[in-house]
Amino acid sequence: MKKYIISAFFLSTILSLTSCNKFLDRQVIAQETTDGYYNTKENALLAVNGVYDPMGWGNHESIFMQMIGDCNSDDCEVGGDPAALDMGEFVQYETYKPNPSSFTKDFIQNYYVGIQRANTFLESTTNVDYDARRYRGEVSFMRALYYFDLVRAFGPVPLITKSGPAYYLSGNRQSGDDAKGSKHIEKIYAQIVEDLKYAALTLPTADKYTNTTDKGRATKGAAWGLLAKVYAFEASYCKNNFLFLNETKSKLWEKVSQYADSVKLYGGYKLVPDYHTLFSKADENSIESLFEIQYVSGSQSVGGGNKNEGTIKVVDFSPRSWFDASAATGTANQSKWGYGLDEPTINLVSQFDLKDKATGSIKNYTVAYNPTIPAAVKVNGKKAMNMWILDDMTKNQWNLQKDFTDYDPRIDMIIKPNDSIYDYLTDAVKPKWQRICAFTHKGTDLSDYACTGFWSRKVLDGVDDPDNPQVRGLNFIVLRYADIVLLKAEASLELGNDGDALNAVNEIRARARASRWERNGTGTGYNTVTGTTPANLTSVTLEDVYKERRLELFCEGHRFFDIVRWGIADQICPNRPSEFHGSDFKSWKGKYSYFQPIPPTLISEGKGNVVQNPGY
Amino acid sequence: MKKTYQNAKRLALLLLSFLLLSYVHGQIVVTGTVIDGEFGGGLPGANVVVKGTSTGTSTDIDGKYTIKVPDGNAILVFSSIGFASQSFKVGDKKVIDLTLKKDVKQIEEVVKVGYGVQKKNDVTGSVSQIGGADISDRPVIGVDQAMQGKAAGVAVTANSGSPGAEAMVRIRGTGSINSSEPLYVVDGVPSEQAPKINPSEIKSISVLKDASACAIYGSRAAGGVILITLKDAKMGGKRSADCPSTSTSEISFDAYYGVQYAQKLLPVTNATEFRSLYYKMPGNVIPSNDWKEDTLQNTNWQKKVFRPAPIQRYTLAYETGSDNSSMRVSGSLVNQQGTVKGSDFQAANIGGRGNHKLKKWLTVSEAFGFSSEKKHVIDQSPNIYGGNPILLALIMDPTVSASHDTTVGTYQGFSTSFNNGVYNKIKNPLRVIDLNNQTNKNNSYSGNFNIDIDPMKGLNIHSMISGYGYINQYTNYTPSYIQIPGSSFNNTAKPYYQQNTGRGWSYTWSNTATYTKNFMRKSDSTKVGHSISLMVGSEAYYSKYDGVDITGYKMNSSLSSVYPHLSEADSLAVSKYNVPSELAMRSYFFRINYAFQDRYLITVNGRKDRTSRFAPDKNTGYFPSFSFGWKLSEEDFFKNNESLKGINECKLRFGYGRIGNSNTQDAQGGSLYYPFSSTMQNQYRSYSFGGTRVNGVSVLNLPNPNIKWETTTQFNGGLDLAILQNKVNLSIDAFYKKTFDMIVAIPVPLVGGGEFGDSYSRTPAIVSQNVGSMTNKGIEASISYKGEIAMKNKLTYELGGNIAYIKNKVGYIGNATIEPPPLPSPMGFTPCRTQQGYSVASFYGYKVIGIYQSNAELNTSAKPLAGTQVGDLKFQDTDGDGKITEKDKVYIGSPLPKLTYGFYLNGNMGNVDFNLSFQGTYGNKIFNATKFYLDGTSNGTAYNNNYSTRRLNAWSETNKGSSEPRLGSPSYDVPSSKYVENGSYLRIKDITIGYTFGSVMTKKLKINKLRIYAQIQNALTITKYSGYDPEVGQIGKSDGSASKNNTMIGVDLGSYPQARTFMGGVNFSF
Repeated sequence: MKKYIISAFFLSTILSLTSCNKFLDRQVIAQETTDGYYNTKENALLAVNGVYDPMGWGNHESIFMQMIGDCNSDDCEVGGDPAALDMGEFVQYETYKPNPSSFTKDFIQNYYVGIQRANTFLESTTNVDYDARRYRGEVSFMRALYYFDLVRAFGPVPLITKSGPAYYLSGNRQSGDDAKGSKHIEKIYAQIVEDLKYAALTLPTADKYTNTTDKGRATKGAAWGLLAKVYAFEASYCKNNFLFLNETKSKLWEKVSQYADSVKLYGGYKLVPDYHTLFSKADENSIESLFEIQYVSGSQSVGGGNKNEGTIKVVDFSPRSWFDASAATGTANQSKWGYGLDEPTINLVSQFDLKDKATGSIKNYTVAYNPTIPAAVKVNGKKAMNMWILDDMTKNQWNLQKDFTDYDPRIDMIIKPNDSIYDYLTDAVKPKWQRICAFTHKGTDLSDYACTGFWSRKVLDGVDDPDNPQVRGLNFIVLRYADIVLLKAEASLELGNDGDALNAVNEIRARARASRWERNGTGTGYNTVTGTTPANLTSVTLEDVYKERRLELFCEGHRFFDIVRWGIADQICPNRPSEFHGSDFKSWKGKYSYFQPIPPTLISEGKGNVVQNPGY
Repeated sequence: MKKTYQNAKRLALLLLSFLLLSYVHGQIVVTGTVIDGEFGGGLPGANVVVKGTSTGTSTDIDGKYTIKVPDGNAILVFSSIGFASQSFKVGDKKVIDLTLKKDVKQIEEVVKVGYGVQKKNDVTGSVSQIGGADISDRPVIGVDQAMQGKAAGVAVTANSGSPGAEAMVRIRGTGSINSSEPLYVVDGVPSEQAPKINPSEIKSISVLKDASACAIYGSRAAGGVILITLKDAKMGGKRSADCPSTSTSEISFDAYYGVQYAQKLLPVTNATEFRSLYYKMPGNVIPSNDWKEDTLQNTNWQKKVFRPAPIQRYTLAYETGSDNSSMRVSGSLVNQQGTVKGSDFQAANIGGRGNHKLKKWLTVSEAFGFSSEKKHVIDQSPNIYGGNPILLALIMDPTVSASHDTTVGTYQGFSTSFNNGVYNKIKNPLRVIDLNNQTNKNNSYSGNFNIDIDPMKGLNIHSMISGYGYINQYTNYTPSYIQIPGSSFNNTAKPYYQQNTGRGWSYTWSNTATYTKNFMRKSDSTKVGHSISLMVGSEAYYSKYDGVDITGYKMNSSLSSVYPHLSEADSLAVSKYNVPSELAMRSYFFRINYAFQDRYLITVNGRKDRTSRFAPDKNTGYFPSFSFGWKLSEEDFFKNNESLKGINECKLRFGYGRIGNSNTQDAQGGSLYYPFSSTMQNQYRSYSFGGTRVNGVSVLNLPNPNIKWETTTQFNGGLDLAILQNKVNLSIDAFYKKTFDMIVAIPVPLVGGGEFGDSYSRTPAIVSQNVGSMTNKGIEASISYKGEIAMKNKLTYELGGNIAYIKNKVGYIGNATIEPPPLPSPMGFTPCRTQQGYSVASFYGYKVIGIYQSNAELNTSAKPLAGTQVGDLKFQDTDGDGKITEKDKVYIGSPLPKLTYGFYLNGNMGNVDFNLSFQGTYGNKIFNATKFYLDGTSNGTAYNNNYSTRRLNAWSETNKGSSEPRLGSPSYDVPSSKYVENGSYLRIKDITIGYTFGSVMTKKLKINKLRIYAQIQNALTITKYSGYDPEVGQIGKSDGSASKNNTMIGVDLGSYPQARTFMGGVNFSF
């Protein structure tokens, strides 16, 4: 009998073996999972930080916006190696023949990483035990900013506000999230406005962030400011019959004015006294800054992206190659090099009211594309640099004080050939920068690479050692108070309040005049002196505001988006005086060039719900 | 109780007799015991039939029977599966005890199948059996090697000749881009890892190839199943009918010693040739300080790197058996050096098994094993900057002296004549070897405990609990060193020491109940009419892994180089990636075997698996199979057909089944245990508020809650033939195997928010999805012939072989091609591509159609790649657009062989035994990536390495007939058919001759057996392949292991060749 009992026991185990379902319920061990993660406030804050993170990724993300903003306009050109064109994709953008591949894809992909993180956060914190409003406000602001950049650059991108497998598994997309054409663009703007309004409601003003580790977080003021800017885009598009055709443009301008006022009255912002210091480490997160991308230097790597908290803008926008100051004369050391992108044009330089000492009149440098560069300035058969401006400046330093009786001091933020301004730098760094200036100017024996001869100092913080431009920590200002003031001026004019507009413009000009750099007597430093010209305006037109925006905000990634919304891109872009790219600007296709092409991957993944922008 | 049962049975029999056999009268009652001639003891379930009648019975659990016969003239026929039938005339005996002898032929024909055994004749699936002699008489280190060339459709390709390296085992082709490794089942314990056991302890290997045979293992069986049965002792010892109940024991000792040699060295230029080529190479800077002829070294670096390497193994076993108990314990030691300096392998294995018959109906058995392995490995990554000494020896400058100062650690780099800093980019191979301190250690322990209950005739209940645990440790000590002053490879910092430790354990609990019943035919009661066997079972599996990777920096103690220990480090860095994981599975399964009149055989298998790897609503898989066999030779029309007389057995088999695979992988190819779950990650998600870096967090991986099994369906058709009095056995199978729902890592859509992972390499985010498919179809055959030649000492021999043809084709894989990461810089290209419509991991590149002979040809042809000159390779303009572009790349070969085969001859003559076995492949290609260096540009600006002697015949204006491109040609900078070589080979795998001392001598010495043998392994390889060894598997990694990536195989960039081994050994038992 025993054997039957034992047999029965074993037989029954066969059928009932570990029938407890817990046996198969194996969850991730020793690692945090999404489940319940957001239930503590500490975790939520970490997740909020994670939403900011992609905005700072170092490779080409924020660079992309700036490149389009600067180089697609008359402000800048893409330099670099004209033969290899290792940054050729940006040349394609610049010449309105974009062929989206790696950079565009990276940009879009990374921004949607930010959006996905934001979506996950917003979904996960709807019902938590702590007060998550500020966090949700920050995340809403960031989502709005990601979408605002995307929609300005590409137009009708997929609007995804939920997380979940439906959005990242292939062949699973929700048709409602993608759409075609202008209606969809307006839908994206509506989402941006909704997010920003929520952010404005829930975020504190900047002064309420007392911890140093909270500097740079989204604020109420930033939300208001971005709202003003978003409405300015809507209003301008509406005015120029491009988008928002069913809106009343005056209502939109009123919103711009209203949010600009909020920034001014309740945000606690004002212009910093010295225009030039704005772009230095010292003035990071200044009283003028509404929002900036936060960087720290010290990271070693360039290529990776999400590992680093520094920006490689510096190397991207640095001269393509220069002499290592420490190397023996005549020995090229190209290990010290940048990519030479985003170079200010002579057209931009000419905007700064340079009053010629000799003639007493404003000097307007004009340049036409000259395919036959003198042989003398070719190096290794390649076009060396922008030689046509040399006529004026070959022999001596391009000394503003010496050559011009008056000029807009903001030109100091452009590094010019043989720029004496670097005299103020420390002895360790100064010779190097001077060498850069010298080389970019007199390139006959130096450079294989195209450059205009000008560099924007707004990114190249002159304090840094140019020998090591790889990863720097200089923040990039996304939105600053001067921008808001000028938006206010623009809105005021559009609404017929010319007086307000004049005040606003003169506020900007007054600060600019207080900001001239001059060498001091000893040659070991510089003084800030008050400029004399240009004087306050007595009346103001829209053109004046447009020009003021250009002078104030050049090389900060605004110009192209501004001229598109102002409806003047069609005059400017195809007629840009080109220094490298010749008649290529004729490829401008009118309104079809306002938006960049959507990467084919995105279209194929959209399975019919994402279509290419017209004209591509 | 027992008595009651016996009585009831008798009563039932009696009743039956009255009802069915009422015409029988005048009966004599005969009782007796049928004894198991093999194991001793009563033989249950034996048939006892009165000849010529339908009267019959079968023995009970104790082997006892009772039968009534009409009279003394009746003849009783005793039979049982696996035993030779015997007839016995009753006469006047009332008690007939009889020992049934093992039917030698039939016993061999019993094969292991999942959770049981089956008579080979009755097997309806596709199963290959590799007998013990194939393994135990063949001194190999690993199980995988033991199978090479032995079974049709089982392709074993060495990834590396490095001692202790695992081979790539493919049963019926590569079934998936994911894991295609077989499941190993050692004495009933399943494991995805090749077992660490001493091959000479293997009794037999049974390879389940088709789905109908494998489905009983369900979701783990997609790569086929390898059932390994270890040797055990027999209960009753050597007891036989004439010598009952003697407990016996035996001690056996096996040993072999051999020396391994590199099979060949490759022809590279010597110093003089190198120097002359160097001068001719365009673009080379002529050194100001020229080589001085009198100091010119002529170093053959290959000879410096390869060495004769001893191999030895000693195995000691003890076995004993008494009436009710048996035991076998064995231990072995192996010590093997690699033919490449710096690689070696040591292992100790101890294992044992015991069987105990506690009651007639109750047997328990247990097994344990312990294995400790230690190997030093060389870096086998295809990386010039890494430290693969095989590659480096090929390309090292022969004018450099091999002498070095080991105390200071200085090694010559490239000739200092060229002191411009670029030549020492290549590491001195001797330095690499001397400084290599990579060690892999593995300790594993396993055990199982079994209970077998046979409560009644035909019913067996089996329960097994097994456990397995291991600790793996990889250590790498990087000392301070200099190659030559100024070299970028120098490590002048303090040494650092890396220690990666992983440990895991698992258990399996499986239970089965099997009931077998034969119904005799009415017409002929000695024959089975219906036979049915039903098995049901359940299994639970759980495994857990945990590990930690630590690097210690600045090792301080001077002892560190001898015995580095992390406590000597100034600082420690702990990697985050070796995270713990768990896996649990629960399964139910069944099998029904039904045979009708031994002619029609039906097998139905089914398994239900649930795994913790998938989300609860996706984690259940059903894996059914069905197979059918038809023994034509048992049919009357067959038997009666004169023309078919020569055919002794003829069986047709058909099978269909589904099997699964659940090995999801992450972006790095590692196993992914929670694909349905996302983890939070804080590394590299920080942001710097106000200049201070603060931590951030986001999800690390996007989960796929829908992910489920890969499923493979397979159709199999086969024919088994035995002809010429069973001397010739032939088996042919054809199969069609399709994997669907194949798990492919699909890049996350651009807008999907796919994170870039935690690596800085910006690998695109992927999510594993069930989107792909792959098919394999093929034919395989095996044949054997047993013969004997009468002479003074009878010569018996067996001749046989197997061959398999397989065609692999990739189906839809998510609208994309799969390209593994490119070969490391400076190569930077990917030779393999996996695309729908082609076989997996096919080589992809330009097709070479000649060499540009003149400028005229250059100008009139399609516009070549930039930099092309006369004398360079001419590529085909495939798309006809007038220029050579990326679009002209085509598929230029497959690393998968069309045919794999093996054949053998073995035999005995008197005391002498011999074996000769061959093995090979046909139709596979090898991407000989060493040509990048040996034949490529090498123009002084970068990698001025040694050249192949092919370069001496380079095309030039005066050597226009050459098929080798000009010196300095950039033709090898891109993948092309010039790289692709025929990888077919035929290899004499081993030649063995053995001598067993005669019984006169052994008796005198009071020993059971003494055999000595000599063997040559890899005696000869016939191939057109120009590299070291045509056996090129998966690409190597820097820790000496092979990548499990199925999308890059057959790429040779310095893979470790197989050795030729001469050895002698002894088998001794007493």
